[in-house]
Amino acid sequence: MKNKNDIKGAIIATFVVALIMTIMMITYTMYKQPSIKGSKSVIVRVIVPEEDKKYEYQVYTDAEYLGEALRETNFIKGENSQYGFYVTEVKGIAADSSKNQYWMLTKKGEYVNTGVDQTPVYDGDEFEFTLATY
Amino acid sequence: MQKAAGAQKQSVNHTSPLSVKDIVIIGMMTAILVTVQVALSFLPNIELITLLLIVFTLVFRWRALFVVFAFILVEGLIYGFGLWWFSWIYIWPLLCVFTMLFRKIRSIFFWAIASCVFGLAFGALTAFPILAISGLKAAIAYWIQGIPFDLVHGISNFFLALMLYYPLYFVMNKIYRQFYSNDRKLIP
Repeated sequence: MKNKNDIKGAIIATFVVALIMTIMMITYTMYKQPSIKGSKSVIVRVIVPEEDKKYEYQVYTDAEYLGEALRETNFIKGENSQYGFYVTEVKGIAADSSKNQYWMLTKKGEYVNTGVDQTPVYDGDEFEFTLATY
Repeated sequence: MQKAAGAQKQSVNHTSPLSVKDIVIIGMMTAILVTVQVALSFLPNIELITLLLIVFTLVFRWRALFVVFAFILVEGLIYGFGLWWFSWIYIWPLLCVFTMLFRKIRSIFFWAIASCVFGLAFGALTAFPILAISGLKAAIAYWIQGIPFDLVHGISNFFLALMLYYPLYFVMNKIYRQFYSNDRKLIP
């Protein structure tokens, strides 16, 4: 009789633990996104006027500055110069310096006076990278 | 012989709550806990502390509380006294108290399930300092972010207990019996 009760108890305990795990998994899948993706949502557009192309991306980050937010997702590539981080490539599209091309950074269409590493990121910001010539 | 028996009697009647043997045992068990923790620290949330503490408490009873606080202090000295450390102050003693309450149960399955539930609840238990500092929302976010680790913790605790509960209990019980064989009266 005792053995039977033991087995019954074990089955109930296993069931309860399995239930707890399922609830935890469901909770995680439902609510994980903000914490994993980063709490700030930023829209970044990549514009190539020559080819008349415009791409739009949503970036989630916890980074304080744009440079860090975009580098951690390999969105941009570049080199460190004496003036700060110089963007040479955005989403795989490289600026050709022989054609005097460079990546111009704007925020909602307005020119940004700071480099990517000095541009702060706030939730809901919109940035544009335009392949421009000088 | 008589003299030895007299000395024995004296040690039984001393007023200090800890005998020299207790202090030695507490030191040894703390060393085991710290070594095992550091040795397994490269595996995220797979640990033997839960099972070892359960077995220590079952065998050495209240002495395990001394072990647990010494262990927490040493861990703080090794890794620094971060926010996690403050949660450890109540998490591990809580496990000891829980084990003391159910110490008469010797079923391996019971302790495997208890270890599993403890592992699953670990993230929620460590969220309390965050609740006090940053509020409920931050504490819940912290808990949710750690759920995959809690699941790994719970499942690994369950299987480790199933595999190692009996061997560990056997060894600890043997140490206990050999160590305290001369002063049975000290055993609570």
